[in-house]
Amino acid sequence: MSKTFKGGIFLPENKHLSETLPIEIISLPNRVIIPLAFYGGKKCEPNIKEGDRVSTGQVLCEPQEHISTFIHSSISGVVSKIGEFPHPVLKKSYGVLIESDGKDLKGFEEGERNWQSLSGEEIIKIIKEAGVVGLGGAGFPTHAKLRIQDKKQVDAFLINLIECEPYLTVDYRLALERFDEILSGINILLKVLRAEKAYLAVAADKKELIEHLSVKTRESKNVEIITLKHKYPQGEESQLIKAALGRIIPKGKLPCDVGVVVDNVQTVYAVFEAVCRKKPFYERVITVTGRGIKEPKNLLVRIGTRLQDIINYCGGFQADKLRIIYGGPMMGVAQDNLDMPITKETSGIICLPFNKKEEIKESACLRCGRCVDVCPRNLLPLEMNRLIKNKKWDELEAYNISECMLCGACNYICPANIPLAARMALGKRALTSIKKVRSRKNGS
Amino acid sequence: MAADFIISDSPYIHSGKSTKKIMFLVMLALLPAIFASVYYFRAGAIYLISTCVISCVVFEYLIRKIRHKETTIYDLSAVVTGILMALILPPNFPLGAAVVGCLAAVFLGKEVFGGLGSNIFNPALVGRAFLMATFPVLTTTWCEPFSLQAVTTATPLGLMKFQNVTTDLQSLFWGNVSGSLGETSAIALLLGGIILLLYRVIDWRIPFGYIVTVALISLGFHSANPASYAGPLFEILAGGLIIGAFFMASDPVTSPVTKKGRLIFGAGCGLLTMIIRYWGGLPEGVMYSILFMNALRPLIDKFTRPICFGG
Repeated sequence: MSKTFKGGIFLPENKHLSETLPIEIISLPNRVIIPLAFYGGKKCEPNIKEGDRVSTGQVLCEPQEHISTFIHSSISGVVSKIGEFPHPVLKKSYGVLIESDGKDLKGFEEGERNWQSLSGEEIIKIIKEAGVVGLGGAGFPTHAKLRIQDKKQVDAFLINLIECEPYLTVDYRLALERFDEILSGINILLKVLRAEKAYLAVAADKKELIEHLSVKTRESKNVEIITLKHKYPQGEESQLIKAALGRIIPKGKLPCDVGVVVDNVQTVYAVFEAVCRKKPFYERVITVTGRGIKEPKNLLVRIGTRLQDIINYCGGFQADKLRIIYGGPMMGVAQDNLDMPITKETSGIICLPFNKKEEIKESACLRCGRCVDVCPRNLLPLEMNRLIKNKKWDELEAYNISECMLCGACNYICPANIPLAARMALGKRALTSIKKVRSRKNGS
Repeated sequence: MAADFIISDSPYIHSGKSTKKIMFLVMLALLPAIFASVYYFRAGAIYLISTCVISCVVFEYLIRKIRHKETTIYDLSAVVTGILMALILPPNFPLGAAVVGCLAAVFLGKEVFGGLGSNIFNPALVGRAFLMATFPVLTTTWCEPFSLQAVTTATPLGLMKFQNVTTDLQSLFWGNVSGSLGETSAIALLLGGIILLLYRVIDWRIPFGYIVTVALISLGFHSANPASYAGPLFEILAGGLIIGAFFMASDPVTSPVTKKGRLIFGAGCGLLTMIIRYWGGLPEGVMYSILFMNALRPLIDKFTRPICFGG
């Protein structure tokens, strides 16, 4: 039997819409909107100005603090505007609009590089300069993650291939099509981490992928495949580490505290491209899917490509009323602006037709406890919901709301259809701002 | 092509579970017991059940209307309360008095706390307790199966307690004994219980904790003194234990949410039931034991709060 964690839910996968479709390269967009924001949303100052000519892969801004990374242009052309633009997560963000010249002139020196001769420190520097971030959805700068574990003993490198969100098939396709490159990426990161062993965590129901990986890793003694139960949220870092390696991250600690570093498979691929092909991170694979889109696809797109261009490329919408979700249907964000760009964190665009009849209104909590049963973090969502509704912030803290990672499993299962995920997010935000105010008061 | 884009918070998919579906499954699970009651008590069962269901729904509708709240009758919980109310009354219970009980169940048991989900006690049991106090004779006047003549017969538990007479287990199992309308047939209720467990409407821990505790206590007393204490099978099959364990104690609103808490809750119900049956003034203790444990529910939840992942 495949390993797993306690709690969680079984979701209808709906991956069949796109899992058999090879990764396609989208036609070059006429314009891109590249957010100039670091991890956490902080605005960063570009080193270009309006009217400047830029080339593909050219640095647009440099990191100005530890947890931030380089941002590059994804096409060649002219900077037509620097200012405020829509952003899928931050709603609005400082950014740059680049009009393409249609030439896609590369501003970096393409070519092969032998990573074996590089030191760990040099590799981290390359990763930072290439602007690689966590591509599973969080967007945490990869070089910063590699630095955090600097002083810790890491023995296991876990590659996340679970993709537990329904619909998304990015990681699946990438691992099927580009595994040789990924394997090099794994070896590069093992060297940086000074770890002995890499583990590929795959969902047990992806038979074809497991077969493919076991053939490809036959020669590699330092790479092991771990099959985990197909369950949500199996791909979440702490549940993944618990299920795959049996290690539990203590509350408030990081994976490296238990000797593990986890990276999404596309991140590993981006590391390979940066190190071995000298390529900055300016394009990524996304899944465009759902019953609301005519032709679902797995697409290699330039960062900053607008939603409109992607929808057009995929044949347009198939419904009059729909939800467009950036990310997965469990943790993604619905969008209503066709100018919305693809950011480094966008793993997919899911178009779900909207049917008013299927929408269930929130009703009273029955205290049935299903949310408690499914919570992978062993929390009591129903009690936290009550406290948040009554604004009892002090009590809320005692219920460990900080440990909630907003996976939405409770929300999915709730028969009263209480928007638990949104409410937990609200509670977390409120508590953070209260703490800030408090510490400021104590400080003065 | 112009399309409408809907914005809302994640998640964007849902299990499709709803309060209504849960209540529907409970009704389905109650069907065998309803059939058994109609079989044993004929038209009387139909009259009593329909009276209770209609009055619970009407009362809930009216009370919500008076309170200027949206109606909740479509969630079917009032129907379930009505069915349960009827099933735990004597088969020959006067219909007018049953309506009073239903008013108490819906108003005092549920709406007074703010409606479904906010109530502390199981509504049907509140209605039953109210009737115990207002019509003490009627609520303890039983009739034999297949006759609605109000001949004062005793229930198997009454016979045991006051005359030390045991009833054969086979009659208890099939339900050919006197007792509340829907509590007599153990097989029908167990079938319903299996439906509830299979569809995961209830957690097994509450009925399990309840029944096992009753079995263990009665086993102990029976082995020590077989002459005055009946065996575990009798204690489980007689009276309202099975309907109480599967349909009342397991009521989600009024039972703990933690797994450990549910076991404790069930065990507490079992312990109190046996204390009342052995040493109380009444032959049966299921109703009061559950109501008492309902009151302890917040405390149990508080002390069984799970430790969070990694904490």
